[in-house]
Amino acid sequence: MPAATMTIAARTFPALGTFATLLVTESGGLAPGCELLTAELAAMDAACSRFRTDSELWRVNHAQGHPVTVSGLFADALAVALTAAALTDGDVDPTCGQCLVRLGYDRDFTQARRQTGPLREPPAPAGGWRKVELDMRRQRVRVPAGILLDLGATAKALAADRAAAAIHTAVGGGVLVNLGGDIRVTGDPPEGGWRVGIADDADFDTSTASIEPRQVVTIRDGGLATSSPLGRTWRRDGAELHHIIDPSTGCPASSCWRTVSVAAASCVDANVASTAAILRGERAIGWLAELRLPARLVRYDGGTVTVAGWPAEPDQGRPA
Amino acid sequence: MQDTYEFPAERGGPGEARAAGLRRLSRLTWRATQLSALTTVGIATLFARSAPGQTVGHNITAPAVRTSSAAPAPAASSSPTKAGAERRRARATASDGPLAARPTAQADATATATATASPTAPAKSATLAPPSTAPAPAPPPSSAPAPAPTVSSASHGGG
Repeated sequence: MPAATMTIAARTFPALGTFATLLVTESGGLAPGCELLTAELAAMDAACSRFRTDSELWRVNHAQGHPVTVSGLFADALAVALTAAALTDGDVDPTCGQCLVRLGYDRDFTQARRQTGPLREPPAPAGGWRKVELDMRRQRVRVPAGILLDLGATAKALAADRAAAAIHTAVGGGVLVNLGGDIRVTGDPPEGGWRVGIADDADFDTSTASIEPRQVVTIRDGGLATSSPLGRTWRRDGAELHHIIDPSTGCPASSCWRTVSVAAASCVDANVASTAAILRGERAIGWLAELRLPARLVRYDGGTVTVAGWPAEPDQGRPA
Repeated sequence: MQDTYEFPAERGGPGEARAAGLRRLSRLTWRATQLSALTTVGIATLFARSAPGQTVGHNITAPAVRTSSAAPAPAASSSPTKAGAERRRARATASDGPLAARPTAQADATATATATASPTAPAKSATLAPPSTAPAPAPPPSSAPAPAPTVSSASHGGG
């Protein structure tokens, strides 16, 4: 179908503790696309949920250092997480599970945030991603006793990448998958590209659970992700905590950025880069520019920095 | 009972004894040659098996290599805290040094993940890759009846 005559069919539904949105340019592809997306999310949740006692991640985390045979999906998800750690010098570390548990994020987020008392144990550094053994050929994983994996930093983005590819293969046309702000597009985009609103998480309206985008951009391929310390917060003993962990301390990262959005070749790459940028602070500007990753970084005072071709906002943007 | 052992009488003359000795020497030489050939084949086989392993091991470390580009250094200044400096030192200690010296578990994961990735799995790259086209500013709303944008934020439980 010519791009100019494309219409976009859309559906949004709750998933993985957040929302999932599917946009397709082939209107007949919406129903089968949603089925594929639902199946992908269910498979990823069964493999990588830290809280489900029947998940593969639970089995791996509680194997007391013994090797565990896993599915191809779990092996892929762990390989992606370990590669992310390697590419960020350990900033995005999948062995932060124990850090999150010590900070009180030891159950489903909606339940965890209800606990507001003092922490039972002090924060501790991550277990160390280099200690995790993954044999892709035999699909076997060994995690040393005492280390807990948390694949939350990459698994959702991987699900977006996988689902978009599977839906495009099945129904053709252009496909956009948005999982709680982690976006992947594939196939022929609609005329003018996919419109994506870029929000600053400081604008989140808790009364309506909605957020108005500060900027609207169009993308034609690859992935786009936004990370923010404001995205998932809870309080313990009067202190506000968040889910982006500094692996070297086990504490929530202290950053000069309150929101970072990055575009990349895949949603995984975009998500890894945006999370690492939060951890790297000012150094993130040079790092993202060196990697040619278009990005928008928002300081706590509201100042915005754009990098590597990200369109500047007319009133406040200032290309770096 | 026989009290003494009697050597059998030598049959034939000295010429026959010499010929028998030469035959024994010839057999010994042939067996030594066979043994030598077997040893050579064994060593060659062992070497052939170990050589590809070294090649794979070299490739394994490749995904961790991050090539620096000619991009300009960041102009922004930073004011590192003591904790930040310690963290950077710790990371430098962990990541410096020869890549081949890193534990092979992660290297195996990276290498074999590439080899066995499913068709729908994302390609594992040696670096975080940019998109083919950078995001562009959206046209003004008045120019066309554009659909509402899908939103990227971390506020709904995302990253």
